[in-house]
Amino acid sequence: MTGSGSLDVDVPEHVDNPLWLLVRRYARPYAGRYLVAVLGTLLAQIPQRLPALVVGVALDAILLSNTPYAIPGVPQGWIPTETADQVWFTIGLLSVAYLLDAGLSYLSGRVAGTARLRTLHDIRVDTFGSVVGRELPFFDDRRTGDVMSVLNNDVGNLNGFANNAVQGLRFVTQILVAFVFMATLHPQLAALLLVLPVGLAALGRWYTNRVEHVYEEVRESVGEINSRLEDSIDGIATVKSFAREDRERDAVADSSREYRDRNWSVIRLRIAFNVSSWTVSAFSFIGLFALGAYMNLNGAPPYLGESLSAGTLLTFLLYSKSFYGPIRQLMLDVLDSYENALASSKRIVAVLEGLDDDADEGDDLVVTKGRVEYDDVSFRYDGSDDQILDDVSFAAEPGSLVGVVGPTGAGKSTITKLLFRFYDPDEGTVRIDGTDLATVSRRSLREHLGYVSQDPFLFYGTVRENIAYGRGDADDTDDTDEPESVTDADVERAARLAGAHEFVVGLEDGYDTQVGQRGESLSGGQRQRVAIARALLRDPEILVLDEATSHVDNETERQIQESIDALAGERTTIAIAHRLSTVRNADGIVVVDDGRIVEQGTHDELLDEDGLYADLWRVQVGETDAVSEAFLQRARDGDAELTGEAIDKEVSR
Amino acid sequence: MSDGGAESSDGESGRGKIAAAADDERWPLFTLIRESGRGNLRYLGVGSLASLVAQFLSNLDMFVIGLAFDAMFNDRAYDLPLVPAGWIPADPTPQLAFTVALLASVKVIDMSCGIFAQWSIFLFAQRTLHRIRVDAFDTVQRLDMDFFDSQQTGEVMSVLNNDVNSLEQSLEAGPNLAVVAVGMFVSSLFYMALLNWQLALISVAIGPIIFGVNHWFGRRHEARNDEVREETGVLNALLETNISGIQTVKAFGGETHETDRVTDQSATQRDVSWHAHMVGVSHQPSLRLLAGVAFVATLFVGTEWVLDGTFFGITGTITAGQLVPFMYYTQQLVLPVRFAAWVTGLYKAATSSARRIVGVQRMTPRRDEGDTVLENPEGRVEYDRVSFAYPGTDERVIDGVDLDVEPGETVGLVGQTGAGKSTLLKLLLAYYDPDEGAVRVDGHDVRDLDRAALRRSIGYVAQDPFLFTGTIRENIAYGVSEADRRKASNASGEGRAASRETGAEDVEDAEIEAAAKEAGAHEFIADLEEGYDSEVGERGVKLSGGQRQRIAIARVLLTDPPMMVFDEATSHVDNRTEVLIQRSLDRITEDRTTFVVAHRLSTVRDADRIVHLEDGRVTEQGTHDELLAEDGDYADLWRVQVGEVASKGD
Repeated sequence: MTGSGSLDVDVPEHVDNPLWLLVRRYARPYAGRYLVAVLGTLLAQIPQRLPALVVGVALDAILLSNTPYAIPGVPQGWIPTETADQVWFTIGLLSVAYLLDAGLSYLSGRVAGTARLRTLHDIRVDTFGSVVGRELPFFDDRRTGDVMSVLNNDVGNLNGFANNAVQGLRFVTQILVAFVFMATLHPQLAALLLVLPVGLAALGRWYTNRVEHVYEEVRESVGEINSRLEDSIDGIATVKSFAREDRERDAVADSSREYRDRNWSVIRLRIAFNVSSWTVSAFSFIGLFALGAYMNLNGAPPYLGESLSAGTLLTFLLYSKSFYGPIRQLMLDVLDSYENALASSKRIVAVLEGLDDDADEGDDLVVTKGRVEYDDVSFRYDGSDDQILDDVSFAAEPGSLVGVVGPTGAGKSTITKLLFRFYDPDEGTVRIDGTDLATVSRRSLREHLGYVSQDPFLFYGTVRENIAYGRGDADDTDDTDEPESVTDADVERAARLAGAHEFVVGLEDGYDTQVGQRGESLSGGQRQRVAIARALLRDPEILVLDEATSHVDNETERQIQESIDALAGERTTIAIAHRLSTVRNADGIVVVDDGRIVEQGTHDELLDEDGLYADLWRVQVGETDAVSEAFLQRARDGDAELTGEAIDKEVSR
Repeated sequence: MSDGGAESSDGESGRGKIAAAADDERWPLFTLIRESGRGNLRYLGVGSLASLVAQFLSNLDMFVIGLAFDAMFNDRAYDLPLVPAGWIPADPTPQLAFTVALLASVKVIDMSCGIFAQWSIFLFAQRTLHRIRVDAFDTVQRLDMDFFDSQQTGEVMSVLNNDVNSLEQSLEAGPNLAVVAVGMFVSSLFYMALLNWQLALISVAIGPIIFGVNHWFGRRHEARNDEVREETGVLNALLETNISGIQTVKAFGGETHETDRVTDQSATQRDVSWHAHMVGVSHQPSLRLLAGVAFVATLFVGTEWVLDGTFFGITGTITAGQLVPFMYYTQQLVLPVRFAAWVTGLYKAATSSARRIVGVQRMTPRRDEGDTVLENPEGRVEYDRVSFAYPGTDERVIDGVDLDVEPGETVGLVGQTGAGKSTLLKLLLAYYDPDEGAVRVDGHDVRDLDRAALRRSIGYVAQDPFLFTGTIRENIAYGVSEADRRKASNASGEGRAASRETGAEDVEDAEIEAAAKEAGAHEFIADLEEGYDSEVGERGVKLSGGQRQRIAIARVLLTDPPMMVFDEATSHVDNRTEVLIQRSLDRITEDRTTFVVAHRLSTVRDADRIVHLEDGRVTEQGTHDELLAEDGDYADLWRVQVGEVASKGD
């Protein structure tokens, strides 16, 4: 589940190491806790390594009675001389060691957990704030899943790394403490035993390097299977209508076999790694035993210093057994999680450090009458050569309904996006009551605008929350941020006006029914009506309807049409329509083609003109044989153009 | 299939429903392994055995070292169980050499067994998984459409994909880990008992306590982790909903409000995570402490024996050489307990995955199909007093529909959402059987027909045509199977060369082009850089809805079906493109029996007959002009279509 995010963002140049930046910024408030956690972890290693040492000493002094009882670092005066007391001393020392170990581990684990979770919470919230503060261009080129994966997987990777870093610290000190103890007992042998951790670490490095490439292939074939399955299941109606189940089965079996085969290369590699690391640890253990015992029996060779006691050999043996697991985990998991966290922190920092679009910048917009005016507006999306809008000029008089129509891709939606200042025009100005929108703050601008989109979006929450959206929570009375709180009666009134009340009370929990993701799914028409109620409750001076009726059947459209009429009422309304029927009665219709306004007028005027609108209308009423040759030609050209554009996109990628 | 009456509304319980289908299965995991592991189970058996042996051997080293210790440094006799005394040398240095040789050879056997165990269990897991994956997919794809209408594809996918993958992890790691845990625990106790059975009793006594404590922590873990999962789910839903609805958030100026909501939920998630973390924080140290207690007790009793000869009246002894392995083995008792918790987790995950995998295959029992193979039908379709309710519902979606359609006729089906338009066609395709009455093609009840042959004779074009990953050529050739082609070309005596491997190449390029031309798709395909070899789908060229629609039509045309069904085929296409499609349709539908389901009435205006459905009944039928003259429901709908909304007279 790691590293699936592929959000396309750049880390600003002033950041050297994004992970370090996050640590500096977000770990600092909890520096005290981190310090305690680190110290606790380090200190816990001393009592944890102590029993092997103490047992070795006790073995020599008490059971073999051939060496005096001495523990490195403990003054000789503290140690009793009587054997019986030495037993009690040993037992006491071990008990203290075990208790200290448990206590310190618990303490440092607790403090580390608190610090880690708080840090992550802060990072998540800040990252979300940065994301949600960005304007639409940021989201245009990025898929929802990729943005999600920053907030989700990438923050999760940091969590994994924080966890592993603690582990890693523990492992490293564990090995270090063991070597310090061993060095005090027998420096030469301890130095010789260094071969073990170093060898294991080298093997681990070799394995992770090798396995990475193979994993890449395995992941690829997992993706392959996945898309095969998705293809067949998504297209199941097609599969069945052509009765091609056998072919699908074979295709899935092929990719599954491919995956199995590639997986075997990983397994072979893993087995090879296991064999070699087992060999290293097993034979250095046996070698240690052979050498140590030989030195004890026959004296040490000159370059290995003095002989060693049986107890010391025992201590060495016990320590050497304890290296295998930690080093393996260190090399395989901890380093891996570091790589993941580094990649993740790049994306997080890029989001955090990106330029914030300040929604409060500019003057407050004052709307007096609600006149909207587009004056020679031209626009193209960043990084695209395509002129989306080209010298667009029109005005919507206060209280009027203006319909915007035209073929797909003509630029209809872009016109309204400029009104919201989701984007700013390259040339020309958009004005409300004579004020250039570029000079007003986005926040104040949007307070005056209402928006009902083609595919109305409901948030995860109750119906009530969704309707009250943008006016504060309906049931949250102590919310002091909002100037006026919304009462249940307001919500209901808006729902009634939008024609939503009836079906909402029919839901099991009425206005408290959860909708959106993880909630009850509503039909397109129902969602549409909730969205209309939401816009109504806001009571905006200017309303934008974005292809509000292209997804529903005629009967539902009729009902929605009626509630829209209620909504539009006295307000200036701009309606983008696929179905010309929606705007037939509009005060003015703007016909857009290829980013230009080609015709303007009322329905009847435009029919008389017998231009593009008249042709579109013929299609609307099913008189396809009567459309003009020019219209057909444009349709065919449009086909080719669109295809050409698609190729461009492919090539530029 | 937007018109279906069987919309599933509860996405959350979808996976639960799938699992519930295997409720009568007590051991779904074993059922699955028995069915799909056949032939490979021996690898599991042999592998587990080898792993057990390896575990016993790998724990042997400390035992041998302990004995050797006593012999070399403590002047005791060197007795190894199962080793003839004559083999063992008497002097320390040769004893050392003997011990090292023994340790080395045991290690070699131990490692060989270990490697063999891994290899063999991996082999079992991989082979079994491959079969489970393919079998599960195949069973599912052959289920009736009923299943796919009532399940969200995401859920089905998640079973076929996520559950199978998580099963893979469990099967690879689980069995070996279980054997290792048992082997480690049992062999540690075994060697301790062999060294000094009185002292081993202390560890035996403390074993159950360790297990009890571990179990208690495990249950707390589970409860806490459920909370974490729940809260993380809510957090993710919140995040996702915000990102996908960003435009709405911004239009309503809801950024601060959203950040507050995310902050609250993230804090809740943080707090439950902390509680879960705390369980873990006390878990590990507690186990280590218990192992420590076991060892200290052993050491204490042992040294008392050595010094006093008795401990509370119980006599015994311990030697220096025994202390070494005892210290090691008591520590070894903790690890298997942790493994056991791990294995339990894996087993639980595997069982619930297996339950869903078994469940998804048993959701809908397959209906019987007839064996009459429809050959070159004329295309006469008869609905004879057909009534139908979706399985599990009482509501009649189709209610006594009588409809005779002549070969070559074009019928437009109109009506509100949920009126039964699409359902009527699903009955024709035999996705469902009618509850009453019969649907007949050329006089055959569709229930008596071989389904594959029936469906091949009906060209189906959906609202959002589905293109498979692959080239345009492959997509157009999709419906033509290799066997059919061979038969056809033999019959026509062309004597083509032996058929090549893929279906796509089996079909003559000329035929594909002809179909594309007829569907009005050839022009834009030819304009593509790679023409018919352009990849479509996620990684391929982006096509507009209208272009995809025409490729789908070409795909159907290539099979030259006598009947065609257009289910909302142009409702997602803009007016300009609709003209292109409409024009090619006029030609295509001329000689074929055609059903066109339409929300946009303009699409069916020129149909031979328009049928208006309401609540599953036919309320009006006739040509466009006739129905307008009747001034009924159709006329009302038409007024909406042309924007005369206000004139609805009720």
